[in-house]
Amino acid sequence: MLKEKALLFGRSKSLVGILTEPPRGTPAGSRPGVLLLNAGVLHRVGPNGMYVAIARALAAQGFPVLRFDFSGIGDSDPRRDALSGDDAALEETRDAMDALAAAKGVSTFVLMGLCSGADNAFLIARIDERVVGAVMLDGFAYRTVGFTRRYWMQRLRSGRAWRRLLADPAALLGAVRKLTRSATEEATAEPGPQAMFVRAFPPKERAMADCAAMIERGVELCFVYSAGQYLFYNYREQFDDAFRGLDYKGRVHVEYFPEENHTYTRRSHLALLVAAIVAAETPTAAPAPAIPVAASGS
Amino acid sequence: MTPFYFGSSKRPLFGVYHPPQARPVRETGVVLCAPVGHEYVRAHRLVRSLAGTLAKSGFHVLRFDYSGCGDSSGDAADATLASWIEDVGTALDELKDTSGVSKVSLVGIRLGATLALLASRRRKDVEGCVLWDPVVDGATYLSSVEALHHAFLAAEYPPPTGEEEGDEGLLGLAVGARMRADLAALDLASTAGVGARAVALLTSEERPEYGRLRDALAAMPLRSTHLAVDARADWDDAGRIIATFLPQQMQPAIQEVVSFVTAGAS
Repeated sequence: MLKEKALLFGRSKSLVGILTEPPRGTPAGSRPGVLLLNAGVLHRVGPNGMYVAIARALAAQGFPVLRFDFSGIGDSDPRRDALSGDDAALEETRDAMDALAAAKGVSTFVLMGLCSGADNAFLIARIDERVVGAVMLDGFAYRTVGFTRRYWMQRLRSGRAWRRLLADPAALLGAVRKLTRSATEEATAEPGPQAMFVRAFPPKERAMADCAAMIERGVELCFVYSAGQYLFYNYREQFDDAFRGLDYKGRVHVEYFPEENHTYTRRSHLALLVAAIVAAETPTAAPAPAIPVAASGS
Repeated sequence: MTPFYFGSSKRPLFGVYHPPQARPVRETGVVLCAPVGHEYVRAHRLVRSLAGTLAKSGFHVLRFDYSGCGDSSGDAADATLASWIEDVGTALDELKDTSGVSKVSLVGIRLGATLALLASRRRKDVEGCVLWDPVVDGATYLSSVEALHHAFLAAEYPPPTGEEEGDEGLLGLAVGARMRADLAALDLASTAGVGARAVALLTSEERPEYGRLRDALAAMPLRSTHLAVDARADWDDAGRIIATFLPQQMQPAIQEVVSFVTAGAS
């Protein structure tokens, strides 16, 4: 039976996390520790309980997993100092690594998260050398000519899009303008106002250089995209096309879910995501059956 | 604030204990019963804020997650209404053990309110019960959440291409066949044997079933009040499915809860 434990950690012991322990008998340090980083302002259970499901599935495979709240999110108190944004995320993730190291004797880590959690996972993996793997769910994406072609083909086939265009002259004019741009211009254009949320991705050259540096360091990178990321990513090979020239050295793994929305709302979709993450993190292991969860004291 | 697990080792529940932050320390504790599913996510900050406000008013407070929800063990697909009602009782006993209080008030939101009132049956240690926008008619609630689930997915990308097969959950919450049957048969207005000495129905919107519940509460041997608050939650609005409540929006309701619980504890 898996055990879960509540942890209070960080300098002022005000960060809250849940440690899911691997099955009894798993040798300490046989797998890296896994940290799940908040998706936006959602607390550590993740959208639709995604982080709980991932934590328990990975723990069943021998990974100690910590899902926690950054300061000001969920159950963690806001910071009392002026540190904010990326700097606070880095410091608190390092605090989480220290807490997991102290609790389970691990010295290396895999960071993962959805959306802003993916952005933080990548950023921190680049900086902290204890990180040996990062899983980005709907993280940065860069448009390609192939993206643009599929995007417009899909729009042309969509009855919803036609109805909207015919009902709104301004939208129709905007569409005509876009169609008259070249595919390359369109591939590099900023997302339109229809974007459901604003995402600021790093410049592609920097993202590529960071990937190359991490691959060189031996970090395993896993990029998972859902169809819900349709404004930025819409076909399986888009990552390869966008990062042509990047030598993966067998350390880059890309998954694409063409039927799934951004938060994997349907249970069967969430199960597919969890299975893909487990498979990516345990490439040589046979799938293990689900293990029920118990908890030990605080 | 102490996050911890409690209850049986077979079904541990996650909770957060908030010790009193002011004197006089009240002799009645408060257990908060959160909503479930997407409403749990919407209300998480609100529930935390309510716990903090009550602790600052001198109460021992425990908030917790039901089996299969949040950080608690288990899969919601296996839960029944009875198992969640039992969880409320387990939390109530835990707060008494932890804090030494002999009486507890229950404050529930949406289905949490329903579970709170049902958990008070046959108990003699429940002082007050606050029912904040309670689920009165389980079948209406179920069909409303089903409609929201489909409306949410229809507005997402990619849009669904066909009917759902099997249990795809409701906005992320697994709902097993037994829970569906329990909810379909649920009518809070027909509850008998409520143990609370006082019940406050706190509503942010008017629903036809609230009239029936008011009448039912008025006929019970307890003190009942109805508090209509200006803190709209828009539970059935498909446009607000993922809108988290900011505690400041809910201040009028939080203040009513604190006043009611404090009146019962003094």
